[in-house]
Amino acid sequence: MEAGRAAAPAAIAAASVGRSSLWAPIDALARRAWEPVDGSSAALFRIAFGVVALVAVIRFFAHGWIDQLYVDPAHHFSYVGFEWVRAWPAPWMHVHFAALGALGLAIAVGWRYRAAALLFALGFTYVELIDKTTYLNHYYFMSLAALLLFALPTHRAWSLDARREGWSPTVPRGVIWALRAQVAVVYCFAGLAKLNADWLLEAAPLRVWLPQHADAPIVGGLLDEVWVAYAFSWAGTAFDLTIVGWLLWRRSRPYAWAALLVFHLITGQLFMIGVFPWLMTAAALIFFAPDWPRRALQRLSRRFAQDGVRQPNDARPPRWMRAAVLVGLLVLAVQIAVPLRHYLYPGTVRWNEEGYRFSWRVLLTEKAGTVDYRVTDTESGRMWEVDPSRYLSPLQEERMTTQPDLILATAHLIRDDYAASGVAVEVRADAFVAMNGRPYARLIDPEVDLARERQGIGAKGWVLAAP
Amino acid sequence: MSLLLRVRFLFAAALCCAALLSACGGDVSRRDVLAELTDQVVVPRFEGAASWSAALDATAAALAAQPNAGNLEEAREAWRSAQGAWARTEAMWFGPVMDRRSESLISYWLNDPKEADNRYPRPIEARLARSEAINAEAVIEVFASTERGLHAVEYLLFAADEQVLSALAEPGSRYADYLLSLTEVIAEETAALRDAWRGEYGDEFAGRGERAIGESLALTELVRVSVFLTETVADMQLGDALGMRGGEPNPLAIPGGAAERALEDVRERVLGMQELYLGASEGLGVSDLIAALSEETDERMRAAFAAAVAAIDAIAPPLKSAAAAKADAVVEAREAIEHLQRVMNTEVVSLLGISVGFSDNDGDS
Repeated sequence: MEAGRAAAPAAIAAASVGRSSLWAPIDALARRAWEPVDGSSAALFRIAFGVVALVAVIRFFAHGWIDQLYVDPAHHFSYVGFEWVRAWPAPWMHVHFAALGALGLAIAVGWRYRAAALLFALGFTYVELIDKTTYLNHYYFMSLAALLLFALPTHRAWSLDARREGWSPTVPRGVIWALRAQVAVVYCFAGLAKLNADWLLEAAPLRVWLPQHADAPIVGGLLDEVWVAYAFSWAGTAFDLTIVGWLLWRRSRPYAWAALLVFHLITGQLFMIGVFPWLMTAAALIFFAPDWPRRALQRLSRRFAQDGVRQPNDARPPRWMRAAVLVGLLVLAVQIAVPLRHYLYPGTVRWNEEGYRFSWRVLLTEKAGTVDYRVTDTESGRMWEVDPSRYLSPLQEERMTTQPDLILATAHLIRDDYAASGVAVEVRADAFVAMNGRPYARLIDPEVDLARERQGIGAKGWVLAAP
Repeated sequence: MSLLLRVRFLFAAALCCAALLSACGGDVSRRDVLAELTDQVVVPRFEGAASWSAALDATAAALAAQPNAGNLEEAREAWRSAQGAWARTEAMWFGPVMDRRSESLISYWLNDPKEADNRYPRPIEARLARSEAINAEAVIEVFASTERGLHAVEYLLFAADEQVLSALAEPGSRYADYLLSLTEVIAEETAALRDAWRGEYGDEFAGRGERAIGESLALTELVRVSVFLTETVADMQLGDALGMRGGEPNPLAIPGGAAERALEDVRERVLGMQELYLGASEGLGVSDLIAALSEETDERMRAAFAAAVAAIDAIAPPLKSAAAAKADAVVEAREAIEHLQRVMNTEVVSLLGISVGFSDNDGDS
């Protein structure tokens, strides 16, 4: 039983938050959200996040990605509206990452937690905003989770702050809800994204990806089988779409988490997805009862026998709780709207990538492309070809070849480079992409002068239809 | 039975079932393909290059000892064969060739028009005009890449007959020292490459022994070099020769000198890639992996190779003259090689799940 439920005082029903019928549902939600529950599972979420953040930063150092992704490239692909975000010059980028690692550690141990979470959220998001080619879904999740942690008191238990301040180790129930909602959004949209013909009817791209592991011991031969690709596709879809429900249902919860563990172990073995499996496996523990870590530890030591729910912070929700609930709902609505924004654009999102990022399209599409630029001197009419590798790092070039907004940005780099020499040019792209095992096709209209096209969030009429 | 025992039993049973099902699969493995390509394509091709280079060294020695028209023709014929055999290996320039930097000893070609003084044949002429002793050690340790290799030999052997024979006949001929030092280095280097592929590196690449490199890495190397080679031929050679990448048309971007073998060398490069793709006549190749995933892409690759070879064959030699004249056939050959490059760089790369850019970054989209 969740420890806080019995202790919810009846007085909350007459709390100071508004009484009008318009506000009634919000106030009811606020009262329920304010109920104190054990803070140990929220604390575990915080600790796990901090540790994973630290590991992620260590991996950046170990793989040399700080130089490769942020220091070495001559140009970066900025997000629209964030062109002002620039990478620190060396060695400050390394210092920045070291600070992120220290902040991850501070979050884990709960030292100056609020400041640490806010600085980590800002610092990590800054890194992610430097270059679109480094976008990863799980980095986006880390930014969102860090911001959420800043807003939530997950340091009420098992933290240095709590030890110093002598807080009661409880948190409002809404803290657990918010963390669960954040995790749920990832799985639900990852599942919805799989509801497409390629994934379900062609088992693509898994029928391409799985045979790459056909030499693996014991199960390798199976991964070559088409029926296995179909089984993985359908099972993956069912998993993503239903796992939140199974985790919410108390009776199925342990089995669901075990299935989640197996799922992430398999995907972690098969694909290069970094800390994502560990992050989500740990984060999903938030669906268990809020006091489960304390109960688990009680079995090991009496030291953890303290039940924080018997010492509630405050029986009544404060006035700001209504606003907090509204903000929480608004954030949730935004997080639901953002992955659906691709419906505002014509065409297939997996091909044109308009509305692809920030949408939890995890391991959804296999694409490879090649781009050559044709440059024409507007005065003389002379035409020549330009190799984009002159401007981009290998990783940037690889990512650029399949993403129209990056192809446009590279065209602008070329245009501006010649303009700096006093040569006005038109820039056209011969961009070819193969998606999910299909023959390659043109991605960009070869007749369109990309030098004249503007970067923005509007539909890109010069992106050709999917084959 | 306790819960723990049941779980263990179920896990063991699941593993046994998986192993049994796996064993039933009769599909071609990446390891098998790499092993057969190593043994049946790569090793024989480096053996061929070593063998023809040794023949070149021997015929050059005979020519230096007895400079006459017959020996000159034999040496030239040996050079053509050695050059062709070496060009055929170009799709296999990974592993030992890169580790030993063999290209700089055997076939470096500078095509930057801004480096006019360092481009063929000026460095070779300048070296001949100097007075320092020429021997194999100096070729390796002192000479610039533009002063050595098969193209330097080409310059020395394919000058006018009388000029070559009289230069070789001079007492203490510096011309002969240069020629023999070059062919000795080429023969030794190609033999070293052959031995590396026959021995330790071949085993590593084929996946034999404790030091076997992962099949994904090996396959990535194999495809990456072919993609790079198509880009080199289409862009840096034919593209620059036609003046399609900025600047004036630059026929000297195409490697090759007086022997006028450039067209045949381009053909050999494409055939080398095709051999890796199709495998030896009875053996496995990358094609077997691709066909298992997409017969359509396999057919497109086969057709792209056939079209590229046909387009090259349609060019009237010599290639440099045809490129200088912007002959349609050269433009069409370039387009055919570009198409081959696109199929490789998009469909094949995608199906094999490799990154030709050598990215080791995480990815989750």
